[in-house]
Amino acid sequence: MPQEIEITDNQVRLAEKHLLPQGKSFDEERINFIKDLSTHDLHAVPGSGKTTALLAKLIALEQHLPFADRSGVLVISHTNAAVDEIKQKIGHICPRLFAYPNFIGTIQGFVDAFLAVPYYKSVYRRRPVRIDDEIYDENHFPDYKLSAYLNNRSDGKKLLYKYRLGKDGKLTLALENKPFVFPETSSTYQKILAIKKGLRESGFLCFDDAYILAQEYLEKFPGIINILRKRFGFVFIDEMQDMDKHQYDLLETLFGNAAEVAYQRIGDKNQAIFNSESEMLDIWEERNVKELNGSHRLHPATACIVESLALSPITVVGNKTNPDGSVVDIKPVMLVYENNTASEVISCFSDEIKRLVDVGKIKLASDNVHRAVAWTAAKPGDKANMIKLNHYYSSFSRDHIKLKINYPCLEAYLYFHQEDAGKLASIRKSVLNGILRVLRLEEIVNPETGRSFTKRSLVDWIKEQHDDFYRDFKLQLYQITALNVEQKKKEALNAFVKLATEVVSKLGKTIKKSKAFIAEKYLPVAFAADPEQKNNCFVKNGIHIEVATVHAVKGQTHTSTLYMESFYQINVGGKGQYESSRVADQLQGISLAATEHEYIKQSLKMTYVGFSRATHLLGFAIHKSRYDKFYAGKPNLDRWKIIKVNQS
Amino acid sequence: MFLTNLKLWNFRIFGTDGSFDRSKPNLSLNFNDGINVLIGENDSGKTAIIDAIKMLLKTHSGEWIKIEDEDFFNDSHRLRIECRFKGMSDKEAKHFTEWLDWVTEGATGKPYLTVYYDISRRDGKIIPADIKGGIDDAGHILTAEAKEMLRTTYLRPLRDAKSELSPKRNSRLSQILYSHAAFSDKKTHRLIGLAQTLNTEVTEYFKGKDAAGADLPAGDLLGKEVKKVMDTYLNQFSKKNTAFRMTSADLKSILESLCLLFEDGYNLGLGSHNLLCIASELLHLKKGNWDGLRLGLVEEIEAHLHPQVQLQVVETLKSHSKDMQLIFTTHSPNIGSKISLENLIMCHKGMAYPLGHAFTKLNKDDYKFLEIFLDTTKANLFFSKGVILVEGWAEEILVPVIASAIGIDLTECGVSIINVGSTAYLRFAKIFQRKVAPLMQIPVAIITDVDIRTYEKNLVIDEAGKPFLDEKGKSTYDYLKRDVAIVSAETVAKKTAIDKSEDNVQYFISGDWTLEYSLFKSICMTALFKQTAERVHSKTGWATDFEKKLAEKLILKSLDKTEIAYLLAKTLLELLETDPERAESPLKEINEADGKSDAIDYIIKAIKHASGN
Repeated sequence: MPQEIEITDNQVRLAEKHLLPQGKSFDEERINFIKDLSTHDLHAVPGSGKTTALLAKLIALEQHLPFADRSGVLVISHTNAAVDEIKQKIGHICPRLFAYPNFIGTIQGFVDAFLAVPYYKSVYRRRPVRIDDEIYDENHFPDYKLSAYLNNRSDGKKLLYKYRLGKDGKLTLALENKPFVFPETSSTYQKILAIKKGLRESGFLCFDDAYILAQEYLEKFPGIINILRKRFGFVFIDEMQDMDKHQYDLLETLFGNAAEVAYQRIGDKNQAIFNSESEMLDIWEERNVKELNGSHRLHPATACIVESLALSPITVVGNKTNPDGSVVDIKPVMLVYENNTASEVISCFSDEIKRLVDVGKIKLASDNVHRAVAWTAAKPGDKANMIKLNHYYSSFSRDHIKLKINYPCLEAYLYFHQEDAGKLASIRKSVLNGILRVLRLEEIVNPETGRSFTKRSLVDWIKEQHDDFYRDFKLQLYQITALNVEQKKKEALNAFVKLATEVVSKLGKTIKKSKAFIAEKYLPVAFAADPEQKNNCFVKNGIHIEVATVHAVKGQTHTSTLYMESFYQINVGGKGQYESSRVADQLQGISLAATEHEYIKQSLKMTYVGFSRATHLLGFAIHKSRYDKFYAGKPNLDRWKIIKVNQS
Repeated sequence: MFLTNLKLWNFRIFGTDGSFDRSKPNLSLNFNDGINVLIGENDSGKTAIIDAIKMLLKTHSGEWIKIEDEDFFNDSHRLRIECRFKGMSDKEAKHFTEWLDWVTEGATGKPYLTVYYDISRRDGKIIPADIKGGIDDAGHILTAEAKEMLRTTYLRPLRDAKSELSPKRNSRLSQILYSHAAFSDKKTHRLIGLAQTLNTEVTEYFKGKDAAGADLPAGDLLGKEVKKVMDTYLNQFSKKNTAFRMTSADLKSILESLCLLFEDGYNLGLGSHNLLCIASELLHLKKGNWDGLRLGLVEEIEAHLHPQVQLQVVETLKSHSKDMQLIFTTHSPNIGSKISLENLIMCHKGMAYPLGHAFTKLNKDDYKFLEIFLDTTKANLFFSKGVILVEGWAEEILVPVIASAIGIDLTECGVSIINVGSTAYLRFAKIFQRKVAPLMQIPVAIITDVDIRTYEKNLVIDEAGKPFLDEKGKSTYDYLKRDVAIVSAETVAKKTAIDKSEDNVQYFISGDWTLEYSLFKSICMTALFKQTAERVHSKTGWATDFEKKLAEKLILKSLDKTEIAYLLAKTLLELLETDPERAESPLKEINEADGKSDAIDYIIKAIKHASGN
C-alpha cells in the first residue's frame, strides 16, 4: 500500500448515502471489505453486490485524493458497459477519480493507454490510427492472386484475418503463439506477413496487437513495471473471472506480488463462462482469499441449489427478503416436458408466475424482469432431436445491436453511438468517425504525414491549415449533434453529408468512391414501440418473459428465471449432452471429482450462472427421459416443485 | 529527474530564415544535472532560453506568462519549445507514464520525457495550443496535474526583493511556506493556536482585561478608553459596538502576515534582501514531499550582490546542486571564473555552447589547467564578440594600438585580448573549438612567434681551433646570420607544425623570429622601432649593425620587450592624435601594409579576423 490510508465510518456512511436506498446500510461483511485496503482476492457469490461494495470503497478512497505521493487509483473492469455503469453511478460523486492520475476503464483501454500506445509511439514516432478489430480487418488488401487463392480455401478468411504480427516478426495465430499453417518461405506466408507489417506501420492495430505490443514493451523496457506500480497504489479488478489468460498474465506481471501496490481482484470464478479457450478456474491463482457469502438476490431455497453447483466450493447464504423483512419463500420449479410439449415450457412457467402473483408471493411491479434462458440456440445443420433454445421458443433470433465503429452507411453513424444520457460528446465522436470513414473510402490521407487521419489529427489539420474553416467546422459539428439530439435526423443527415463533402473538398478531392456509402439509407431494425411486439419476448397474462442465452443474462438480476436445458457437445462419462444430466450428481449433493471432464465443469458453471439470477422464482426445464433417468427418486428432489408440462 | 535538453524553433533570437523544420531546431542545448550557467554578452539569448523554459514549464509562483507576437522569430509563423527530461526515478516517472518514451541503455532501457509547446500564428493572431508530451507526431496533451509536477522555481533579475518578503496577501514567502511540508497541517498547526491566543489578548486588551478576564493595571487601560470613545459614537450611529482583533487566524493569513529578516538586521539593503529571497526560494526547491521536477531558474544572479557575496552564493549553490538542477544567467566574469567550465554555457548571437567534455575539444588535462588559470580577467573571453590570444605583454600592449592605427577600435568591437603567457593559448583556443555542430561563431585569433632564429650564437675560435678567451678568461661569442634558405625552410616547417587553424580559430604566426624582429623587418614600422629600441637601450652600440645587435639581445633574452612596446604604443597614440586621418607617415604606411607582405602583416590579419573585418 502506498500510504497509510484508513477508511473511516463516516466515509462508509457517505457511500451508503449515495449507493443504497435511503435508510439502508452495509452489513458487516461488506463494511469489512470496504475498509480492507490490503492485497487480496475477493470471491463473491452471485447477488452479493460486490460491485456496489467496490464502488463504496472507491467513494471512500476518493475522499483521500490527491494522495501525498500523487499516485493514482486504477480500476479495471471487463466490458465498456461495466465501466459506463461505474461512471454513471459514482462519476458525479467523485469526479476526481475519473481524471489523471487515476484510470478507470476496461482492460483493453488500460493496455492501450498505458502500454500499447506509448510503446507504439516510442517505436514508430506517431500514434496508432485506430485500435479496433473491424477497422483492422477492413484494411487488409490482398492482391488478386492471394484473394483468389484464399477464396478457394475454407479457412481462407482465418488465414487472412486471424493471424497477427508476433513480437518476433513472425505470423502467429491470435495470441496463441501458434505458427502459420504454411512454412515461412511460402509465398502465402510472405504476402500475409507483408500485409500485417503494412498494417502495423500505418497504425491500424487490432485488439490482440495491443497485447503483443504491451508484451514487447515489458520485455524491452521492464522499467515500466516499477513505474506503473508507483503510479497506481491501488488496483482493483472487477469481474476478474472474465479475464482471458493473456490479460490475467499481464495484470499479474504488473501488479502481482508488488509490495507497494494494494492489488484486489474481485470476482466469482464459478461464473467464468466467457473465456472458452482458457479456464480462469485453472489459471487464477488466488492469494489471501476473502469471501462475500451473503447474497441479496438469492433466498434460502435457491441459495442451496446454487451452492451445490459451485465448481469452486463456496458457502452461499440467501438473504433476500420481502419488503416487510420476511424471508422470500418460493419453491423452485422443475418443469418436466416431453418432445411434443417443449414449446409449452415457457407458457407453463408463466402460469406458475401468475399463480405466485395471485397468492401475493410475487408483487406485480413495473421493474419485474422475467427471463427464459438456454445455453445454446439452433444452428443450421442441427438434428431435430437436439433440443435447443429454438425448441422452446421457435422465433428466437440472436440479432442484437452491437456498438460498432464501422457501419454500413453514413446515416447509421447518427443512430449508433454510445448512450451517454444525452451528452453530445459521443454523438460528436460518432460523426467524426463517419467523416473518417468517408476519407478512408476516398483513400484520402493526411498530406502532412501520408497516413490515415485520426479524429485528433483531422481536427488539428483543419485548425492548422484552414483556420477560417475551423470555426465553421466546429459549428457544423455542433449543429449536427444538436439536431440529432433533437431527433431531427433528416436535417442532421443533410448537415452531416454537407460537412463530410466540405472536409473532402478542403483536402482537394471530391466525393467519388464513398458516394454509395453516403447515399445509402439506414434501415433501423424494426423495434416496435409496443413491447408486446418485441422480438424474443413471450407474453401471456400480461407477464413478459424475455428469451435469451445464458451468456446474455450474465450479471443480470431477474424476478424469475427459467433455465431450459439444451444440447451441447458430446457425451462424456455417460453423463449425456444436456445440463440436466451433467449436473444431476451435484444437485443431489455429490461433490465434484477433481478429475471430472471439462464439459461437466462447463455445464456446472453455466447452470451456476443461470440459476443465480432470480430473486424469486427459479425454474429448470428437463426432458422427461432425463428426469426419469437422473432425478426420479434421487436425493434433494424435495427442493423442487415438480410440474409436468401439458399440451395447451 | 532533470532537464537534459532544450530545443527551440523560431523563438525570439533563435531562428534562421523563419522556415520551420522539425528535424532542424534553431537551438538544441544540453544541460547538466546540477549547476548550469548561461554566460554571454547582452542580447546573446540568455534570457530567451530562460523564458522559453518558463513558458513551457511555468513557475511555482504562478506568474502569468504567455507567448506574444514578439516571441516569434522575425516573420515566422510557427514556433516550438521542446524540453526533454531524463534521469527519472520510478517515483518521478510515475507522473508521466502516458507520455514517457524509452531509450535503450545497456540491457534494458531508460525512460525519458519530452514535452513541447508548438504554436502557430496566422495574420498576426496567435492560435491557442496545448502543452503536449511524447515524441510522436501528434503528441498527447499533458494534464494539468502532470504539468504541475514540472513547474520551475524562478528568481527574476532586479527583483523587488523587499516587497516580496514583506507581509501582504499572497506574498511569495507565504506561498513558499504554505506549500512546504512543515505547514501541511492546515487545521491545528501550532501557529494557529498562537495566533488565537494573541487574538484573545488583543480583543481583551481593548476591554481593559487580560486573556483570563482579570482587570489590567491602571497603566494599560488606555486601549479600553479608545474603544469606549469609538463605541460611544458607533452606538449613536447604528447601535453597534467595536471589536479589535488581528487578521483571521487561518494558516494562510498567518503566513501572509510574516516577513523575513536577518536575525540581527535593520535597514537592510537590496543586496541583503536578495540573499533572503534566494534563501527562501531554495527552501522551495528543497521541500521534502516532492517528487516532481526540482529546477531553479535564476536570472542575473549577481544583481545587487557585492562581488564577494556573489562568490559565496555561487559556492553555496554549487554545494547544493546535487539534488536539484539550477540554470542561471550571469554577466559577471567573477562568477564565470568560479564555475567550472563544464557547467558553463556560452551564449553568442543566438547560439549556445555548453563547455562540457562532450562538446569542446578540451581534454581532461585542459579542464584542470583552465580551472586554475581562468581568472576574472581571462573570464572576459566569455563575453567577447572576438578574442585575440597573445603570449606576452608586448603583444598585449601593441595589438590594440596597431588596431587603432588601422582604424579598428577593439573595445568597440567587443574583442578581448587575452594574454595567456607562453603556449597555453592552445588550451584556451580549444574552449572555442567544438567536437560537434554547431561550431562557435566567435572569431579567435592566436598571435604567436615562429621562433626560428635568423642568427646563431657561435663560439669564437682561434686559428689553433681553441676558444678565443677575453681578458677575463671567458669564451667569447659571435652572432652570425644563418643561411637564408635554411631559415626559411625551418620557418615554413615550424609554421605548419604550430598552425592548428580551424574554422573560427585561426593562427597568425610571425613570418620572422619574434614580434620585435618582425617590427624591425616591417617596412612601415622599422624606423619607429629602431628609434624606440635605441631610446630604451641607449648604451648599446646599435650603429654598426642594428640587426646583429637585436639578434644578440633576443638570443641573450636581454631585450626589454615590454618597455619598447610601451614606448612604441605611446608614440603611435601620439601620432594618432596629431594625424587622426592617418594620412602621413608612418600611419599611412601601416594602414597600407596589409597584403603587401609586410613583416607585421600577421598582426593586422589577426586583428581583422578577431574583429570580423
